[in-house]
Amino acid sequence: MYNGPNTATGIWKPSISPGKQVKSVRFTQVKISSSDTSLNGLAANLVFQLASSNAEMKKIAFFKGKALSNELVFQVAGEQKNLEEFFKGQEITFVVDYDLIPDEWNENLTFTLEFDAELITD
Amino acid sequence: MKKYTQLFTFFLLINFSAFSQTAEIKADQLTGVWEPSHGKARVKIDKIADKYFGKIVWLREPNDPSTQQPKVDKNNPDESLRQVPLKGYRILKDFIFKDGEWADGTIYDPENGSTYNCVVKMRDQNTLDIRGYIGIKTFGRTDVWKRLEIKKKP
Repeated sequence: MYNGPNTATGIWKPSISPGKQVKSVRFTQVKISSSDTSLNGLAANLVFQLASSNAEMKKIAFFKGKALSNELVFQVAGEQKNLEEFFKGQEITFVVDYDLIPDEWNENLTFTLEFDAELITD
Repeated sequence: MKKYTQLFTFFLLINFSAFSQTAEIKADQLTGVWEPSHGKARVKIDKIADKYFGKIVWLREPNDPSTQQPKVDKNNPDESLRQVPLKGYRILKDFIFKDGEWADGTIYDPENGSTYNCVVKMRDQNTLDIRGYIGIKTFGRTDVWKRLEIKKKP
C-alpha cells in the first residue's frame, strides 16, 4: 500500500428470518475504528459503500478530511433508495475507499465497521 | 462405448474449465489505471464481488480554483453527498463482463452530476472505448481511454 487511494473490503452475509423479506433499509449511523493499528494520522477521506452481485453499488456514508482519532463517525447519506435490493442476495460486500497518508505502509490495516440500520420486513 | 462416453465427458469438462479461465483472464484485463482522453483524471479499475468498478486516483487539478480546497462532488443530486472528495470517487460502477465487453454499468460525470449507462470495449490491451448513453446505445458518446503503466516503487 502506498500513499493515495486505497480500498478495504469485507463480506457480510445477512441472516433474515425465513419467510421474511426486507422491504426497506436505512442506515442511521456508521462508525469505523481500528484496534491493532491506528487510523489516527494514517487515513483520510473515507467513503463507505455497499456492493453486491444483484444490486448497484450505493454510497452510504463518508468521512471528509484527515482522521484525527482511532474512531471516526461518518456522515450518512440523505437519500438511501433501494437498499433492500442488497438483501435479496446471499452476501453484501462492504467497500471502504480511503486515502492513505504515509508514503509507504508495509502492514495490513484492519478496520472495524459498526453501523446502525433500520430494516423493515413484511 | 461406456469408456468413450466417459472420455468424452472428461474432455468436455476440461475444455469448459479452460474456457472459463480464459474468459476470466480476459475480463480481468480491464483492471489497471486508465486515462480518459481529456487527461484531467486517472481512473483505477478494480474488481469487487465479480463486478468491475473504477475510481479517480489522480486529478490534474486536485483543488477547486474557487475555494483552493480539494475538489468535492459539488454537483451530486443528493445534497448530503456534495462534500465527498472527488479523489477516490467511484465514477465507474457495476460492470459485468459478457459477450466480450463490460456492460450493465454506469459512468458518473462529476462536472454535471449526471449518471449515464455505459458499456466498455477493449480495442487493444491498452485502449478502451467507453460509451456513455441514456436509454439506447445509439444515442451516446464514446471516449477513448489509454492504459497507464504503473511503475512499482523499488
